[in-house]
Amino acid sequence: MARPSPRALCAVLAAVAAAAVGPARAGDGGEGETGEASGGEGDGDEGAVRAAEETVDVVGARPDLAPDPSSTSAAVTVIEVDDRLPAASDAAGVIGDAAGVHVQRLGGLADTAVITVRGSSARQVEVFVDGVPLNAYGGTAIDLTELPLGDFERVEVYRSGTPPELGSAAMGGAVNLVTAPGRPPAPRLDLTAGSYGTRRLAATGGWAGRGAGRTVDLLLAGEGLSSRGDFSFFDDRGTVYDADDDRVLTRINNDVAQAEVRARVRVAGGAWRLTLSDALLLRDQGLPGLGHDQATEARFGAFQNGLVLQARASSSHAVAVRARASYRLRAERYQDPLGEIGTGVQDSRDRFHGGAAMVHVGWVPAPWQALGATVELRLDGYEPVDRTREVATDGARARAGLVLSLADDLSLLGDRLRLSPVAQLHVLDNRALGRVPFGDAAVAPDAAATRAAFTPRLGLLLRPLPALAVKANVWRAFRPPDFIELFGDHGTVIGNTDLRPETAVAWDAGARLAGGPPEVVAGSLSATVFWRRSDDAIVYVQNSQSTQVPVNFGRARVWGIEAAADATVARAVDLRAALTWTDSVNLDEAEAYRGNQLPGVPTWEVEGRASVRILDVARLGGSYGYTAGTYLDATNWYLTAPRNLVGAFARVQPGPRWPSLEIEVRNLLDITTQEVPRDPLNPDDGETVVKPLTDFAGYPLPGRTILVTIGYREGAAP
Amino acid sequence: MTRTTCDRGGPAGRPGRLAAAGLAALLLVAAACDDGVPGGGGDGVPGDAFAVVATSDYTVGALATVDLESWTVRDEVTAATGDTVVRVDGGLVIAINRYQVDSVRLYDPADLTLPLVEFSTGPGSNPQDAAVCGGHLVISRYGEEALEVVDPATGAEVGAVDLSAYADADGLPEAASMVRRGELLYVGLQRFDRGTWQPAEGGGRVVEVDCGTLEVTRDWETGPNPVVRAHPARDDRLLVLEGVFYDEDMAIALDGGIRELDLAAGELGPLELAEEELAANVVDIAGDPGGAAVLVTGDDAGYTVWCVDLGGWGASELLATGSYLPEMAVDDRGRVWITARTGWTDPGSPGGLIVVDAGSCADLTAAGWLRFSLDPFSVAIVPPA
Repeated sequence: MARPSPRALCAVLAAVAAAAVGPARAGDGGEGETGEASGGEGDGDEGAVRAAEETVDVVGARPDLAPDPSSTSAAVTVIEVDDRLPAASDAAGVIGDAAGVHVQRLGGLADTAVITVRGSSARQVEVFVDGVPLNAYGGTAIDLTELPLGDFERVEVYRSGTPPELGSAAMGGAVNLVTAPGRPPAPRLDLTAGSYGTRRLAATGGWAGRGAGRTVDLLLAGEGLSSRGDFSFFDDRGTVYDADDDRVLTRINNDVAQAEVRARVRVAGGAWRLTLSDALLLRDQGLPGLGHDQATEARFGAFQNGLVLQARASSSHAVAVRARASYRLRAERYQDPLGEIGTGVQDSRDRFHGGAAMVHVGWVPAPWQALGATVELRLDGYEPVDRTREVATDGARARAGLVLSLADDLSLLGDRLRLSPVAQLHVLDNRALGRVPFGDAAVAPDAAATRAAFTPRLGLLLRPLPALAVKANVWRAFRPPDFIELFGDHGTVIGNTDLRPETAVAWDAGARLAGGPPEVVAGSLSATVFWRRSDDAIVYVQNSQSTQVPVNFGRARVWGIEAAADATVARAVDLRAALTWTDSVNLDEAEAYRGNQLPGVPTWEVEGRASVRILDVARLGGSYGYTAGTYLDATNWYLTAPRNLVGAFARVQPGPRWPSLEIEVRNLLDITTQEVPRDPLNPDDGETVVKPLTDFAGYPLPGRTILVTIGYREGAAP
Repeated sequence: MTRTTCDRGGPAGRPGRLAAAGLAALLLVAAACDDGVPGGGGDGVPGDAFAVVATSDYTVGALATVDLESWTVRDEVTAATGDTVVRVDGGLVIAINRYQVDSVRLYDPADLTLPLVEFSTGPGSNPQDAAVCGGHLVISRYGEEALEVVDPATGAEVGAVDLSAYADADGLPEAASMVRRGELLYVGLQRFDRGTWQPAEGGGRVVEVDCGTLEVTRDWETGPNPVVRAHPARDDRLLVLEGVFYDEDMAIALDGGIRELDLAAGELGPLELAEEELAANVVDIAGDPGGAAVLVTGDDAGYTVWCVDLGGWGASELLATGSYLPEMAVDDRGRVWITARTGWTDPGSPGGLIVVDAGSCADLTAAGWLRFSLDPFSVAIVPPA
């Protein structure tokens, strides 16, 4: 795949910008006309059907059926993407506000960022856009920087109780990003410039009209983002005992250029709706490698396109049917011409295909019961090509999967008790995976040709008082190894064809208190205890100086407590805070690791965000993150120092028709280093040394980052 | 956090004919398990001989010691890196922090908790080996075209030995193993093509460096990927191990073997022991002054320890394991200490330290390898004071 040229990126962005600021919406497109009950595929479908029963017309009654955390047993956080957030917010940073979520970054603003949930690995978190999976059986951990937050209206973070129609049995929960479920949003245009050569253009626009009993709406959103990523970082030259040679280096070969465009067309009749959507991504970036020995030429590029066709219909018999077909192509280019990252020169072109077809039927036979049945067929493919050898590497790989889900939702005791059992079966056909690289053995011998996993779950919601919700969930989770884990050969990562699927058993229980008059103080308080035991967990371990390989790591147990609070004061002040305490234990048999805390899983994490609107002309906001008790290694020798990160923003907009001007500062205190014991095996000597701040050893994080955004939002206030 | 352990768990490489020797060793260890002074080597008795061991899981690492008398293991004496190798020379324990760390630490053998000196060998330099020669500390570096020469008292660079004339097309000669003979240093230049990690055209080289002038005085063309080792029985000879592990199709390459380099005559002899003969790749060799040596070979199935008579070059298999055996060192009693790590072809294979008596070809750890919290990677012997 060719590297996207700046000219091509500009053309794409110009088109998005033109769409955003060009035609205003032709039709009035009131919510009752083009809005619909459950725009995102991830919306509560049974909720939609209930709405159908109440209003007969399934499309039109409710503009937004985001899951109400007080009305579902699921441990879910719904994050609205709106003006309470800084304009250039990234998905990882915002999702990281949710309790139980931990963000891990390989660098700054545009660098790879992944999330983990309740001590999971990043790959154990499944990510969806409007209910369409991005990393089903074949896909890898999702880099959230590839999903510009401005494309979406809200983010749903499921730590338990994932809706069955998502087809997920995720070990670490699911994140569903939802585009505007109602009518297309007002036009928006943002221009951002900031530290480290960061430039950003983001635009959203839409159009809606009606005629002949049909409504049509169009949504177009996109973002172009580029950054040199040349921030400074501390380097000790590999000499912890000699501080005299310490220095500050500049990150090199860390540039990123990315363009993303998302388009959606919907046609709706009285009781049906057809949606066609497409998302295109182009990304090109340097790979800077580890700390002081930085790579100069290694690069990564990706082209991705996802096409989704959805149809939904409902009848007056309280039956709703939804069908979806999707196809996603991702082509990745990895070039390491000097062998700076992995072992030897690498030049590969990998193609990932993901096709899926899903049918979901919801039926409300009685006011107190909603039934749902989902069938989903998936076909994932992987075609690695090693360009240095000018041959396809061991041919194409493919895997087929079938997911069957039967769900019930029982409302008892006058809707004070709600039971949500789900029976879910995953069947994997591995026969097309092919043969082991450099060998004659089949990857899927007869015993593993077909795998089935039963992942039932049960949710319970008790509402003894209207403001109080008591919840509990128990479930099984399952994840087969993905293509990279099986066959990968990128940089430092080498696949392992002997991997088995990882499984888990988990439960959580908690309570949520919500209420209050919006004019004064409205908000919620929640607390949840969670527990999970995983078997055959797939973990990357270093197996040589420059390579790591995934292995089934044995068992691990995680439990913890998460608490969250949010409040809106006088409709002007918004507060959100989350606290997570996690106790993770490695149950591996290796003496060096047994009983240790899992690496990369913090013991304590606190996230807070606040903003206040001032006289309808300005908004001030801030964020705070505290992380403590994170080990970088499985031996638990290297404990990172507690980390406090503070951010702030100020936005001014003189009037609704005026553009806004915003200044955002990330890492306001410019914290780039930490002080840790010099010799972790002899901490009693009291000696400490300075190390760079990292989420992954060798990948320093940037210091203070300033972003200035000029934005225009039709009819918006700051 | 120094841990003293007598754990000798893990399967024997090959029990049976050596069980008696192993049992005797076990009893010896059981009798000798006691605490000593943390930080020093062996049992903490000044002047005692001990093995210093670099352990690692490739992510993190530590230095450990084993007393040569009692076999007491002192684990996790001090933190090292995930890719540290150890050498002993000039009265120093030298910890070479290799890939992506690029530094060297020099320790007084009496105290391994705090280095006397630490210095960087340069970003990306990837130091491989070190020796004290002519009052200098000479360091071979994979990522540079010259040997680095430093003052061991300060770590300050005082010179270099230019090897650029021996580089292949990628500009690097890939200097790795070194053996010192008096004031002369012999260096194996692996000369790999960095693109494919296959041998460059023209094979490898062994060069002789005069530590006084810091000039290359002689050189020899070798087969691919030469590794120089001291000849245990003759000071006027070196052993040169040749051959790569995998060929470009990732198949086991039986393309080398062991040759003798006659330093007096300046001649590199023919293959004395061919990889084809052993049906495996030669990895490392060490032995006693009587000419009894221990050889490690490896292939896809695992690693094999052989006893070799350096006089007639006869080889007999001692034990086979799925573990990875990267390095060895010989003590003054002719016992060869072999590091063993979990093998990538056999994830269930154990790690530990194997001890073989070269003269009797006896596996002294047949009843169980010496165990560490992390698998040992590199070993060197601190002789008695």
